[in-house]
Amino acid sequence: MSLYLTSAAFTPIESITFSSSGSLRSAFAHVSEILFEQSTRVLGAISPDIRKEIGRHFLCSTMIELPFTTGAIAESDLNVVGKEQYVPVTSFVNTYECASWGYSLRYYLKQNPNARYVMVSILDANVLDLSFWQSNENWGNSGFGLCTLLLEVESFEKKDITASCAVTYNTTPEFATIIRKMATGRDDLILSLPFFPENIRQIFTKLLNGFEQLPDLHGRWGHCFGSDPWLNIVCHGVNGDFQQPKKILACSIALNGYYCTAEVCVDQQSTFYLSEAV
Amino acid sequence: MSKLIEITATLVRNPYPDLPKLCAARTLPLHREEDFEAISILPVNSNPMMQNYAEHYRLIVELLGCIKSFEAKIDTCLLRMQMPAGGRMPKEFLDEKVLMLQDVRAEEAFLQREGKPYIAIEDTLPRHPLESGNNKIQIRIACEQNHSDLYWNLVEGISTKLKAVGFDAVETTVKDRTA
Repeated sequence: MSLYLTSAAFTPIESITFSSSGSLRSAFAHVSEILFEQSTRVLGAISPDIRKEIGRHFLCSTMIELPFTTGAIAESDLNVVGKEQYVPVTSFVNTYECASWGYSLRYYLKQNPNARYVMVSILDANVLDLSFWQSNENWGNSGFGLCTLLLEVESFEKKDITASCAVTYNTTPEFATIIRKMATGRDDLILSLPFFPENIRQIFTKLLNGFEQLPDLHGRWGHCFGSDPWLNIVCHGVNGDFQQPKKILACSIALNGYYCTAEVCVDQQSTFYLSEAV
Repeated sequence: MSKLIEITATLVRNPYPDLPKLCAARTLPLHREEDFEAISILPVNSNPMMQNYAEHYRLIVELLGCIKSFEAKIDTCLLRMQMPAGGRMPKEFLDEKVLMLQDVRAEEAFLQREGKPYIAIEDTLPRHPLESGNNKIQIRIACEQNHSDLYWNLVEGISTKLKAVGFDAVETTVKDRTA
């Protein structure tokens, strides 16, 4: 095992919108404060000297696009002004939708196979309060929030990260079949899958029957886009469920068929934070 | 000394003028009055839309094909890509050599500092009025000096391609690259 989840955090974002904040810019200023606080908290798991080694902080998203695409908000607005950030956001990746975190890791670790740590945040917040994103027939109710991961790269192997795209447009069954192949013969592996309502989840129930997996938390959180597999790990981590080391396959699938997986190890030294909703 | 070659150009017409167009507005559905109010706070681009989503992807795929045909040994390609995308991206964009970003500049700066060879395609070609952009393209090639013939052939190939698909004011600048 080569990727170790040093720390992970999730903060639900339920009430930050352009109207509640007074403007879109103010809403993003609020989000950037949360990003700053969460990143600082996650980085507390390692020493200040090691923090300086971290070369990249990817910010990924599925549904935050129009503020950036229209030019209303710039990437630089994601970092708070006037506070020293240990590892500011360097790269905003949303093209691969829910699988953006996996494509970012694939790119970075190919470029920097000797990197020791990498940080990824996944932000999905309905700052424009659009009904399309509140719920959708493709994933049921949505959940919004910010997730940050600090991964230690112990000895990277390409197979630890998968980032690819379904061949067909029947994407969820194809994705489940791919996960099935990856997990076959791996009795030590626990699957952490995206959250879906029952009508979609039954694809996983049927095709991944018999494989150990974390429970679907759609009823509690809704579909939280790329954060789902990590939020599930965070929820179990804060409950103290990782007293023994576990190997987990975090898996995400996007509406357009992009998918990604990361095999990570967690243990009782991993730190987890689940904050109150803002 | 390695070099940074930059090709800039402006799109002045539709890249594929003799082909029928699919109507592809591709905005997300707006259901409530509040949805329309929310969208109305966003800036709207007044520059002409010269192409649709499919044509934009075709254009970038053809540029990547042009680059590949010269067999330049460049393992990294950064693409500026705006969302929403209106559908699944071409497989060429999903190659492990490629990373698509909302803004390529910060990631490109890392490659610059590390002295790595790369190609960055930074276009501001709007496909919808809710996309900013002024129909410019910048293609930057960071390469080693000792393959200069190959890279100049590549520059010539890209420039010819850009002109063929409706770009004007194609200009090339070369800088010494400071790692």
